[in-house]
Amino acid sequence: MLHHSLFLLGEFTRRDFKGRYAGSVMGFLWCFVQPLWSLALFTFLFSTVMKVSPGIGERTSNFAIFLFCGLLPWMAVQEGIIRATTAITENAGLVKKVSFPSGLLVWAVVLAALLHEAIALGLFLVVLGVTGELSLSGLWILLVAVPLQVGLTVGLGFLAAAVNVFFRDTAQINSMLLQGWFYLTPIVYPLSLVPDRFARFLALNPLTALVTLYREALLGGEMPPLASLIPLVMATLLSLVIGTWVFHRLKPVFADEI
Amino acid sequence: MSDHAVAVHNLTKTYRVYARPLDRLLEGILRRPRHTPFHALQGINFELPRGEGLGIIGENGAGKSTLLKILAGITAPTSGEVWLSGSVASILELGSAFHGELTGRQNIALNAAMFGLGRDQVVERTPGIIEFSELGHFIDQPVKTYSTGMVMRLGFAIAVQVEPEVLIIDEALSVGDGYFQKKCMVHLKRYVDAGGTLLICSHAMYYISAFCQRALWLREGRVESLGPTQQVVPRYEAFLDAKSDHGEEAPQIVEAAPSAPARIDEVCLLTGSTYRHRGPLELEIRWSCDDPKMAFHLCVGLNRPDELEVASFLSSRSGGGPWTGATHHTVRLEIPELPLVKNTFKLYVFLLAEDALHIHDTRILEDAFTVEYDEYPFGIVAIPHHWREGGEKS
Repeated sequence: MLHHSLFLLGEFTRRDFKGRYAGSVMGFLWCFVQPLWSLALFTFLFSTVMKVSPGIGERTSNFAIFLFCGLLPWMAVQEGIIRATTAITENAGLVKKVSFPSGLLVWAVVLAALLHEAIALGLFLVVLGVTGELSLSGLWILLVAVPLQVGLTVGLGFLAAAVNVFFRDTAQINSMLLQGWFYLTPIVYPLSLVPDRFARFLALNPLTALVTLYREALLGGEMPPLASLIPLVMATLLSLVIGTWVFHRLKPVFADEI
Repeated sequence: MSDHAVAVHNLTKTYRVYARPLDRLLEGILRRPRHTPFHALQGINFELPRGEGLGIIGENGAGKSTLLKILAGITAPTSGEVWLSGSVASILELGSAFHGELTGRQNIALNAAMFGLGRDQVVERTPGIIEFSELGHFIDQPVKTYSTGMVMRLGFAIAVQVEPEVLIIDEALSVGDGYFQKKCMVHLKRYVDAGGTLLICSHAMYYISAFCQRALWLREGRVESLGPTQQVVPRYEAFLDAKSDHGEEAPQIVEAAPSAPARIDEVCLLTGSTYRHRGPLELEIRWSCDDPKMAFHLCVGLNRPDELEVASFLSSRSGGGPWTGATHHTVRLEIPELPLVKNTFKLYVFLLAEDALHIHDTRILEDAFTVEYDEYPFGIVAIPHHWREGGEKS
């Protein structure tokens, strides 16, 4: 049963990933264009215009590299949640007409987002190699970061997908909340620039820990103190438990509601 | 229970209808009902032995699709029990899982997987699916470029290659050209004959009677009738006929003007409005004329309701008439046996002049009689025949 679900999940992910680029002229190249475009815009805005610099204590003085370490997990989390929100409602034809574990639709978009991230990561590692900043010593930290990131995204994705079936405003609310979450996470700025009285709250943001993990992993750093990971681990477990519970409670009536 | 592939006990499905989406949210929060219940299915009970076909019939909105959705496991019943044994595949809508941007071949894997095939089985059966679909080189084109018929062919090809123990089909055969429909029918027939259990819902009684020994007639969410197909289907068709007649005007009778020199007075089907297979049919025609020297021929036409001309009986060709020497005539048409197998037929009666060309008067009997036939085969007529083994001529 699990074996078949995994096979089905693979097919769903492939359908999602391939389906997105099939039919467009540049096709697969869009995987690279999108992250590069965000990188260029943010670098111009925050580094060139607003003169933000990674500053002391950070592992790189290059703003673009600093930024990309944070953008990588963020883009995967954001894409995963946004696409998961509409995963059930967009596939109304499937959910209403075919009997299959509909939770796979959520997993598939989260995995597709992860695949995009992996491609961007590969590109990034090449860039680091060219600029001479490549260090592989911390890469193992990703083995901690990625599962936590996927768990968090899937949990929130399940919750949003189920709620959106009954309350279509969820998709709108989500994109607003995500915009706020992006700026309240030290992605385009280092945590050291944030005044102390706010920095304490920012440290409670689970994504702060995730972004930190990525920077340490990609720039040859070390495992951050475990205490700093507590918000991330808690948020991941909580969202997984609540998300899957809500999704499985509401799943039997999806076909009636969409 | 083990000899049954499907058993349904006291099944009920109630939908909650909300006036606004907000009501749904408020109900969830306030825990106070803000919906109107809609009873889609109530008290459904039936059992289906392994290897049999069950046809589900009924008007639109009778609950057929809801029942199939519950059996397919797509939606949960409000109460009651559903028991299915073995692997189940459902075709409630062909091609609903296709991704338009991907090619037919790329879509096969996901769809076959959704029907429960494993990776090896998908690889093994893909050539068979492509062959059955007859899509040729189109199989490597994006599905969005396919016509509805092509999508249907691919969808059906995948579903039949899965070979489940219970197959649930909802109206899926109603599209596609005649050739492919026939191919699907042959395949389904083979599936049932090989011991597969089939649940099919269709408005085409043809399919129901072709595959199903038993039929379930749903009416407004309840079982109106459950039994052998040849009993339930005619009952349902009679119900539909009665319903459509009710809305229409009374049977149209074309009468000659009273001043005409000859008029049909009465046409009477002596054998009644139900025709039993292999029985006689007798039609009595009375007419009157002003001049006893006038000579007449009669013509009776037998048409299907859709005006297909099935048979004609012309007295001038079959040794009757011309009738003359009276002002009132009574003539009986006696048909020893009608080889018709089903349907309701209408009769045209023409009072003709001696030349058998000029029409004095016409009478039309709409829904003159309905044919009852035990076996309910395909086609319009039953033709006597026999089979002989061996090649030499007798």
